[in-house]
Amino acid sequence: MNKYKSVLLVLIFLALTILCLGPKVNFPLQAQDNPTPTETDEKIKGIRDTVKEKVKEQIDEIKKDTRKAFVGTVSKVADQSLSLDTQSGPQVIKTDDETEIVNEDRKEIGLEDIKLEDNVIALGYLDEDGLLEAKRVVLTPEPEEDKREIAAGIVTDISKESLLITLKNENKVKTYTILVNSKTDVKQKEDSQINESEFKEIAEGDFLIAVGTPEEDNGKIITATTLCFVSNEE
Amino acid sequence: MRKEALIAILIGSIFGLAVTFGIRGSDQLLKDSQLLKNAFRSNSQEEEPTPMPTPIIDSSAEKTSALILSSPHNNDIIDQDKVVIEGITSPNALVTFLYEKEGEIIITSDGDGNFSQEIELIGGANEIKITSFDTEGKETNKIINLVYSTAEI
Repeated sequence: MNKYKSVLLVLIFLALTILCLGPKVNFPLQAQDNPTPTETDEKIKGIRDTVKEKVKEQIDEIKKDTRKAFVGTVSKVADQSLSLDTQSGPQVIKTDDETEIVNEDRKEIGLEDIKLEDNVIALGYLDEDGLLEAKRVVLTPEPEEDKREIAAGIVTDISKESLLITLKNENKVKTYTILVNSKTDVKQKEDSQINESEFKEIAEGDFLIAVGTPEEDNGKIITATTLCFVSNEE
Repeated sequence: MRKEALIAILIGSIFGLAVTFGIRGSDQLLKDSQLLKNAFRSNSQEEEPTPMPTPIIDSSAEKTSALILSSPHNNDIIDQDKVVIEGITSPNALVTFLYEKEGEIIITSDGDGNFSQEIELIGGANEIKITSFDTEGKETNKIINLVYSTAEI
């Protein structure tokens, strides 16, 4: 009889233990069912949102690195691609049905409307092989040639009357004639700073940079738009 | 028998409740410590500087060129009408920028050779020619092509 009593007591003890532990199993469900979020849930949501935001920023940053545009003239038109001659060399531009192609008036055209020697800007993303997958191709007018030159050297002669400066560049073994006019902006480098100056301040032996356009009838004379000199005394 | 059964029920209940709340309490404690750890981790990540890609400099190029542009990169698409050009050249060098619409600027690099200049862009293709003259008059130039476009691609 005592044996039965003991077994019964152990059974009751175990049953009660299991009964008490039962609700623990349902805790997660209860938490999900709870319509009002706790402070912890809010914190978790906040952290998740921050992480999501950071991941998105990183993805955008990586994508930005592959976002490129090539400018050039068309050398070949194929079914799903264009070949361009760009300043940095030939480039193959991949297109697909989703590539938006527009003419100079921004009207949509087809790939077949692009002709050899057309000037285009292709915008898209580089693939793993470094080829541009174009999202947009824009036909542009032929770019104007920038005729400006930069001449630099030591002032060997200066005419204050005719506003002419002769420059000698020993590295290039070249001599330039610079014509100055009232529109020429004259600057001087002093103590690591660029300050406004005047033509009369320029002297023989100074180092001078002249930005300007060569005269059409005499390419040896450059009409300067900007001058910047460093005094020989500095 | 009835007395013993009552004692067993009482002890069982106390033990069961103790175990239940013990587990629940430790679970909450673990969750809180995890939250705290994550919060600290995200804070420390914010404070750490963003790792910058190490520029790959061709040593042979370095010997002949004294003008390196750090940003922007050639053929980049810029979605604003101004861009800051940054780079490094010889210390105290004269640096010229020729850009679209007859734009021209002359600046100097600092004592470490760093320079930075804001340039205005026109819609579409922009060719920017940057030339550096060191204190001996040696010249180095780079051309960078940028496209200013606000079109979403």
